[in-house]
Amino acid sequence: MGESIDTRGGEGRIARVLGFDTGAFVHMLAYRVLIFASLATGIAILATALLFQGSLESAYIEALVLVVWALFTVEVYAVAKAAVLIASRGRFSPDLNRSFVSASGGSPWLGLVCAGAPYAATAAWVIGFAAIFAMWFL
Amino acid sequence: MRASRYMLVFYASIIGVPLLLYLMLIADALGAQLVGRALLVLASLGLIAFGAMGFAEVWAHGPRESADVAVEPRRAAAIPVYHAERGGGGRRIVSFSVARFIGEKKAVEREAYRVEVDGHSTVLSALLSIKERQDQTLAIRYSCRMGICGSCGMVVNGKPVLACETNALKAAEGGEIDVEPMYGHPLLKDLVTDFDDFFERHVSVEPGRYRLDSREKYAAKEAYKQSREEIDRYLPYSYCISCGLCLDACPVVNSNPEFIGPQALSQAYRYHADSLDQRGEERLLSVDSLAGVWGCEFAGACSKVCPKGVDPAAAIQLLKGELMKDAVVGKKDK
Ligand code: SF4
Ligand code: FES
Repeated sequence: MGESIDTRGGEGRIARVLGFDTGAFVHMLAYRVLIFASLATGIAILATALLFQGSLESAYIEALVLVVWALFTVEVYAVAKAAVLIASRGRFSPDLNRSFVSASGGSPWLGLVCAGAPYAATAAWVIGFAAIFAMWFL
Repeated sequence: MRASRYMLVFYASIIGVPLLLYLMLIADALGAQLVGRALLVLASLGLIAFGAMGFAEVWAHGPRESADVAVEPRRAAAIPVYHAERGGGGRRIVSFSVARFIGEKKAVEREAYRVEVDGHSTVLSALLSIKERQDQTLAIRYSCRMGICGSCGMVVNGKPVLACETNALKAAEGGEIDVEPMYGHPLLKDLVTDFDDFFERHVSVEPGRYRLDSREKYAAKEAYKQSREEIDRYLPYSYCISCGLCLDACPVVNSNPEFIGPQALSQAYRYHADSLDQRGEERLLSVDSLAGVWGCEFAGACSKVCPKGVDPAAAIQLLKGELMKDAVVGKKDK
């Protein structure tokens, strides 16, 4: 058949998931943007507070914090989901083999709690965003 | 320093930054502005740590040249349709657009076919019908035709699937059936990908029960017993058929082929969780790197496409949990 050719590599390739998993794409993209937003925000806060002795109540710092807050939503969901997976040894993952899950039993209530916990953590985070936005900008 | 110790700081920042920001919100709401600003300054340190380590995680492998393949415009089917459309029996003619990778040209050429299918036809059977009756040059890999051997992975309508488990009529509901090779593996010819790299990754985690006494299997004095609970710890991860769909779906593997990928890592966990495996901490440490578990960004796409419900994304998080525990409390013998 001849030599093989490897088309992998390059950040643009993360877009391949778009065909079947938009959530995964949003996760990947938000993380990449968040890396730069975190660095910019962290440096801006430190520089304002320590170097320029400026006020941290300025609108640009608050806007940066809000951007970071919004982007962190994806990470909050992912970390909560990972924490639940680790705590439950992966038994309540929605992607685990269905026949294994039904054969091995387990409390349906615990399953519901595990499924709901990442959403609850994300909801609390989003409420926080709304609250801080209202406090700073309205 | 062990990667897991370094990553502890990273994960502490992922948890710490939202916590500090939330505490700042509460302090602000209570009117304690000064405390709020102090928390914000603390959060800024976490943000810098998170950003710097995230940068290292995503771009540590540096720029990598990937082979470019040209995508040629579709050409008409070389051979006319074999069957005329017939009514009744649920049979109908469906259109296929097949992306064929031509190694000599380093190009993907789109080929259009029309083929008769019924309610029982799979994408694989339709492709085989094309191969038998319309175009013998079409390269496909398959074996069992029943979702067991893992040979027939390809991308149908944008999603990595087993062609032998994908109903053709259902796939045609949106119109034409679009078929492509798995670009998350090196390409060989048409829809056939090269699995050497995949199996090298698999073998690198030493996927087998390791026993300290290598001779005991030839002179076992007692049965290798496991309780139901012990079996359940690894059973779902042992369903892997090495189809490679998870690697194709993984956005990290696609952008950074140095990352070992979900299949090998799920198998590392499968043996780590096995009470009869005696490789212990050594197995864990073998995947404690940015090319190992810490390369995973937990997008979860691998688990969405796994046809056997192996849930490699969960297995990787479980490995991360074990490694972090190990980094904090030290060596743990099984
Ligand atoms: S983990 Fe699932 S998708 Fe990945 S190779 Fe194994 S069976 Fe295929
Ligand atoms: S041909 Fe064996 S899994 Fe599809």
